[in-house]
Amino acid sequence: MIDFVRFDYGGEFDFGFKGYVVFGDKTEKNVQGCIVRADTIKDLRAKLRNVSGFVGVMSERAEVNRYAVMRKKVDAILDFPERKLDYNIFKLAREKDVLIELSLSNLLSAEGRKMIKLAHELRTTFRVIRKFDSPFILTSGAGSIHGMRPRNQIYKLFSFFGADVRRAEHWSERLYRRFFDEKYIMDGVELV
Amino acid sequence: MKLLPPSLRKRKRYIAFEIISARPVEPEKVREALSTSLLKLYGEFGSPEFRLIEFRDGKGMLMCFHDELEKVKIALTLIKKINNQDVIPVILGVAGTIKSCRRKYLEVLRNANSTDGI
Repeated sequence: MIDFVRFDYGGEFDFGFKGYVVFGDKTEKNVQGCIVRADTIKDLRAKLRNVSGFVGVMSERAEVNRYAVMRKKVDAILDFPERKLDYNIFKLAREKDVLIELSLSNLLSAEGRKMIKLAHELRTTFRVIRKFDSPFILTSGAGSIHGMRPRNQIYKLFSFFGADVRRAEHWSERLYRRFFDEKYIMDGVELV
Repeated sequence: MKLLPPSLRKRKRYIAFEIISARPVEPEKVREALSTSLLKLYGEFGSPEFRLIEFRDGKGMLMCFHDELEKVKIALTLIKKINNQDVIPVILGVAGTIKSCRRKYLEVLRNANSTDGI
């Protein structure tokens, strides 16, 4: 079970995750993730040339996210309040095996009408994810320790909005094995 | 209404929880934060009832009805600040009676020491 965070977390409290991917600050204890922020496709293409490792894309525009899903270098589409996704992205994410992040920090930051809109969007997102069986990951997406919550609580919260928690655990476990299990190559193929 | 017979009474659940914060938090503020969170999430008509049974040293127990357990858990998870300070609410567990909740989740932690391996 893996969590995506935006700061270097040393594991002071046990939140129930086996590992963390740190996007941003340099880390020695956890997996280093690399954020690519792009406004245009051209910008994204240029930035992707210089990055390596576990790559997450952040973009406010749906066409940039759609292009990102199709690139081999991209591992995840990261969540943030202004992110825009469309129907095709979920379909492509399944084909290209790109994780779609859904983070708790987004819910924590929303209030009032924003929260109502976000709740509607989340319910739709989970319906589309269920339809295409797209890879997705439920994370805290925390920018500080105060944004973190235990894994069970995060999963419980998203299941209220219609998330298939078992499937989320499957994708998360798969990612964990990709990072830490030397015998794992891909689904159904591993060294014996 | 007069006291209902046991078969008609709603079943209760007791949630043991912990509030991790830099400074100590008062029980009244915890109650306030939770009821605000519930009202924000579910509104006046859908908001579940709850009662704060105890809260000391950052750990506490609250009562709710069994069919509203998930709602209370979600509202508790979404609490960000209590009395203008950032907090992390952690649900320790759920039990059916006050006694078992205290024994399983609160006393174990209060009496814990490293020699027990806890």
